[in-house]
Amino acid sequence: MSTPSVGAARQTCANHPDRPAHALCMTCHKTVCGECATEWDGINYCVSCLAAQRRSARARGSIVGALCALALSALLFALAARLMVWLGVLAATL
Amino acid sequence: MSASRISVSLLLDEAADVTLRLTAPWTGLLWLSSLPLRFLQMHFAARLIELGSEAGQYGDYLRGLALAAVVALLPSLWGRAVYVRACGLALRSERLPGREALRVPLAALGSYVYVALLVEVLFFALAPIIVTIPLLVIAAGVAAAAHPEFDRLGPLAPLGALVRQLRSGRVLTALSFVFAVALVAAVLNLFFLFQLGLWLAGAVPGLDPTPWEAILRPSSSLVLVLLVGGVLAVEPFWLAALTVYVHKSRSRETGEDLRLWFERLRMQDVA
Repeated sequence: MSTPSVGAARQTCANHPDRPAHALCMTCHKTVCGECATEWDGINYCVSCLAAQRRSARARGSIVGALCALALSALLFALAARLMVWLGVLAATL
Repeated sequence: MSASRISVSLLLDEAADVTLRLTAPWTGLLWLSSLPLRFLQMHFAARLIELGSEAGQYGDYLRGLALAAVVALLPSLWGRAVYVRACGLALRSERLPGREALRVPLAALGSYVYVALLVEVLFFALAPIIVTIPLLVIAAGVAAAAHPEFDRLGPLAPLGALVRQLRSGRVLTALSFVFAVALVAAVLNLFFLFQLGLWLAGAVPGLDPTPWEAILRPSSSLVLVLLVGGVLAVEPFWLAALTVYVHKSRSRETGEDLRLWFERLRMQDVA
């Protein structure tokens, strides 16, 4: 967790040396000011670590989505041939 | 600005211009990639007509043909994706698109295959309702034209992008009507072209047109051949018109049309 500690308050921001540190990024352990820190799910991150978190979350989402779409496509592929025959036989019988 | 303000006549003009510019090689590629599918569909329909009410007894044979047609759908979808990409590149620049048209992004192609298969399944399942046939034909065309927007591969994202493009019902209905008339005209023109060919062949000394007369006399097989020919003739214009429609509605949403308009004004001022 990343609540401002007494130690961090004495240090300065890694991106803005003129500003006092407000929080500690829990990924890279750099001290950052209030402007550079973003709290996500109760944990503070610096801008670059937050961007990396978002990228990996998006990649995970896209892999899961791609697998779902692939599985559905395979199902639709098999279904399309069966339905084509069903419709054809129905039309021919009429 | 809403997409419904797009002029249909302007769409058709631009689509005709783009299609004529893309004739070689992109229209050729579209035809080559969809020929196996069209011939397999024609063969499947011809066998069904031949079997008639006994078709139900030949389930395995028909299933084999249907499976081959669905397999042939895949290269056809790739051909459509490449053609739409070539149309999009031609709309953005005055020159003919080169090999870059072949580089269809994998996510967009995968999403397009998924959406096209879904539309195909819905088409076969709902075809007995009749009303759904034109709606799903439009959806299939718009899915091809809008596939560059399918940048995220997933079960829902491409469907959302497709539904967004289907909002302008008036323009799409008008376009579909125009292309339905064009399909009938293409089929009739092909029929008269075949008859003219036969008549001219009869005038050539030493050439016996009798076998051709047997093949080209009005029959269900000839109707299927004419339908395939009509679809092949109209499809490039249909896809180009829908690509222009998607391009215009997107550029209105993003303000790209205003940017281009300002750019043209600035160019005029400089000149």
